[in-house]
Amino acid sequence: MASASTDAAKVIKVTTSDGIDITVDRQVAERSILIKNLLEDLGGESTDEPIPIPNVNEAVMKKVLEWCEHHKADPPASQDDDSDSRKKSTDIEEWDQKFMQVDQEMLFEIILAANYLDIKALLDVGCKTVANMIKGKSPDEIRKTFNIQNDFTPEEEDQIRRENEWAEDR
Amino acid sequence: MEKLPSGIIQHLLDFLPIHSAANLALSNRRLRSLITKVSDPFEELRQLGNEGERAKFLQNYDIHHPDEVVCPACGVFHRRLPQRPHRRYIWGGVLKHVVCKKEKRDFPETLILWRTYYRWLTFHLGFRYSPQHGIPTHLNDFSKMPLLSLACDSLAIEVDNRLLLRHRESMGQAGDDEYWDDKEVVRNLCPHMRSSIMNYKDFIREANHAAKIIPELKKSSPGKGFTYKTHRCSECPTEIRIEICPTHLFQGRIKSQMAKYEYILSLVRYIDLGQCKSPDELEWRSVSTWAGSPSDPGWWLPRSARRAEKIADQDRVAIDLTHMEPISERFERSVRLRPPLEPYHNAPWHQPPQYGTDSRSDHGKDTRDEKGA
Repeated sequence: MASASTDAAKVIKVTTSDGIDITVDRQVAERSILIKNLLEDLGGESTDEPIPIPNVNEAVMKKVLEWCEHHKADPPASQDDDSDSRKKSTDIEEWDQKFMQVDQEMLFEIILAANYLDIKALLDVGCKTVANMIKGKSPDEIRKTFNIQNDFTPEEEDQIRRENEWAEDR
Repeated sequence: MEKLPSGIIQHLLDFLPIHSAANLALSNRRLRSLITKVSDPFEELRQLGNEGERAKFLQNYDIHHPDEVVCPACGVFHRRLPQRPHRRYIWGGVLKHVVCKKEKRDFPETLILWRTYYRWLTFHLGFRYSPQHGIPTHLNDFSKMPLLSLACDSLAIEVDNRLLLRHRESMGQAGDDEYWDDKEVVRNLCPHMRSSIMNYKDFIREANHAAKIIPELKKSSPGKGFTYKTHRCSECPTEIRIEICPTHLFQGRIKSQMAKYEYILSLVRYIDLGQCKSPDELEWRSVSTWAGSPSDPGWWLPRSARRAEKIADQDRVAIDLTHMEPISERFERSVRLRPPLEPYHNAPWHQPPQYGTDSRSDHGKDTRDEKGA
């Protein structure tokens, strides 16, 4: 009996926005600081009640949990990682690169879910993937890549061009 | 993308170099206001020390400056040469006339085309510093001929604002006893030959296997050639093709020794050198960064080559273009479509004549009237 209750404490349930219950190892789920804090707030009591995650649907949640499962043994992020310095490395591990080979809609859903669930490492991987897609592209190519609507008028575009050609050496 | 909350956009900016942040800001009004609230990349581009970033940003506008080229060293537009540079300007070290005085870096990395090491400036000057922006005919002078029974020829063309290069090393083949066994030719094909494609011996074996098909080819399809195999490097934009072609159909350079053979075996290398605007472009760095290894120190490697273990992480550059249309397809299609190149004189690029529909019909009418009169 004791063994069964210990096992029960090792898994938790989360309910996604579309009402699906997903059972997951507690250690895996605790990669999310949001879930970890919720569980701590419950004071280590039995968590038979599923934890509602209203902003994330089943497909995205499964994807996020797949990442958490693979990275469950990773050390927690150090303070240095949070230091504010531009041009952080955009190197991505091979497994994470393959993990992020999804369509753009899913990629942004994962980023939003990582932000909501407070999984910084996953948010970093998502942002690095998007940054690598932006690097080396002109504004027009960026618009095409992400299907961004160009809401600048031709006159504004001309003005922008004039403002930014200040470096000419004619 | 444009609907992401500002917190995530702000986090994304941590991973973007300044010029990319500026480019993202110019894609949409909302993004522009979000990004400039966090940190103004346009202001940062003006600061001292950000000249390289500024140059990358100004490349967005170089289409509006056909007579100027962005200098990667000081981040301003420089005048192009008033006329086509003579060969010796490119090959003979008169580079100081066109290289910015603020350029402190050396460019030791090289591309090897038949035992000759070509540096980035060769391609930058030949392709980008010409009066006719983006016309690389100045480059088509890779005329060095091997002393052996090999022949080689190269062609550089511009496709979609990128410089594509085809380098072909060929030798006559009878398909009976003389096969290709030149290790030196093979190891110069790509810096990642062994790590990304296959080791030298296997490649030579494969080329020889292609040659062994020649006797069968003579019987089954006389007068026809074939592409035996195409390898695509996954670490640099290089493709290597093994081709067999009947000598009378072969369009490259041949030597008199080769003419006695019925077939030519060629190792054809297609390289996408990118836009050749900056030595930091991934395309250039990946095709030109050579590394020796403890097992093969590589006496033949260029002086810029370093031991693999000594290359810093930031210098380990790879770009995988295997998801794009093959370089060979882009190259050959473009060669078929464009008029023949004129490498040895200053004739302007031949534009097709512009005929307006209305003016043509008017012209026709006038002629008929005159005839009637």
